Amino acid sequence: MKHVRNSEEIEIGISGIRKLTETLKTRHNFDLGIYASTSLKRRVAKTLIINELATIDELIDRLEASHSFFHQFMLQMTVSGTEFFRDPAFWRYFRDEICKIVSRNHMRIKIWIPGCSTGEEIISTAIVLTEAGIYDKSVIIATDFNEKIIDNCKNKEYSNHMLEMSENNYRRFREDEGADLGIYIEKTKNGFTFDQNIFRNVEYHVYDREENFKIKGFNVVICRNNFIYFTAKYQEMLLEVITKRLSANGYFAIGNKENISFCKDASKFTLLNASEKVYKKTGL
Amino acid sequence: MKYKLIIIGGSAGSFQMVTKILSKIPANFNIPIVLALHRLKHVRHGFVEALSIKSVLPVIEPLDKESLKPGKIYLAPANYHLYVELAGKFALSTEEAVNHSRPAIDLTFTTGAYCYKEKTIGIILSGANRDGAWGLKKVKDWGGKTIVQDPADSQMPTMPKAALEKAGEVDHIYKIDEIIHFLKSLV
Repeated sequence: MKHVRNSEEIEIGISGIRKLTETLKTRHNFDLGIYASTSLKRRVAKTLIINELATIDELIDRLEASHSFFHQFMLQMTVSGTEFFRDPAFWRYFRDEICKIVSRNHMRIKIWIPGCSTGEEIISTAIVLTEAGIYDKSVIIATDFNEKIIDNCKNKEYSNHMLEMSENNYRRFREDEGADLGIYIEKTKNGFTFDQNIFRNVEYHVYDREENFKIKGFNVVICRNNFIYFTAKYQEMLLEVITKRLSANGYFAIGNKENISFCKDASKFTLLNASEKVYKKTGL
Repeated sequence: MKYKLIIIGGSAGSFQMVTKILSKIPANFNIPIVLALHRLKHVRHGFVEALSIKSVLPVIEPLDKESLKPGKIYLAPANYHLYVELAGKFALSTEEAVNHSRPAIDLTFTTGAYCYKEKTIGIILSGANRDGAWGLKKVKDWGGKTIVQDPADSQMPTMPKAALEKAGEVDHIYKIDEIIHFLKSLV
């Protein structure tokens, strides 16, 4: 019988990560050096298990041999453990404060969700905009590093174990025991998807490098629990890009335990909601 | 000083034990203590405040990329895993639950032990599942000190027992008063 390995039991050393980084940089022009080290190591360990590889050297061999394996690897690396309506209090603040003010002041509302990954934040945002009655004057720009991630995000089928937690989050968000997320959901054979109507004002774009991404003037940027996966240096760069793309008085949300205090551009933001980490761009 | 990091893992039945420990840690205690305790994922507020009431030292939930500092008690925030990274900083993650837990005790223990090696102390308290067992084994493998609350002294002995089973021989099996006595002796 095959021993099922647990990713915690796989030791990934610094030298293995160095070799892998080198390979991905030279063969696939992809820089692993932007990722925070612990979660990077855990994700690499997971790819070893999924692909039934014994060592990081075997992983490197497969990456050198096959471009399609690289895409598969990239997808496996971006698996996120998020939920719909994570932190219900954030979504209430988004609905009651941000949406209200932005829709009062603007004819069109432009929202950017960088690192959209598996799409949970897109769907939560679209549902809130729908319920606030302002979805038709909104556009959600969802970006991630490459086309494969975007494709995966677009056609995503979610597994049933996410359902209960998400329904509970939604009820907490609505503060209504009878609120039913199910009205947006379509059951499938192996899980569930969302009503296509939810995606009607979502535009997907690849963000591989800054100069290839032309859109600016966002009213809101929702970037929760992305920075935690990057090094401080890369986070600082990302914040710079976001700051530039946000319009004056635009809103910016990060995860409730994320931290921008060490970033140069932090001084351009005023904290509006300390518990949900929502900022307003007040500097230039 | 020998030790640079103390990690305490606990679940059901550990809250009062942790409160008791924190009430006895003296003001001049200068090793950071990291608490990896199971908690309700959607209740973000109140836990740190409850632990602070009797604690002599400040109890805080660390932010991502915050540095570990002596004289502070750190509590793993709700619905995040808490990692310790090289360079003495915390990192957070929303990756999937481990042992049905986020924060998972195993992850704080394994990452802390990897960074601080023999300068780590790992303590497993009362709990009703097996989280922390693998983590304590890693503390031992890296040469750190391993302490388990005496199962007979634990409200829920499953977690201490699992840790003893997984890690094998540990440095100490202590009642809560002995854990406090040991910690005070480090000053």
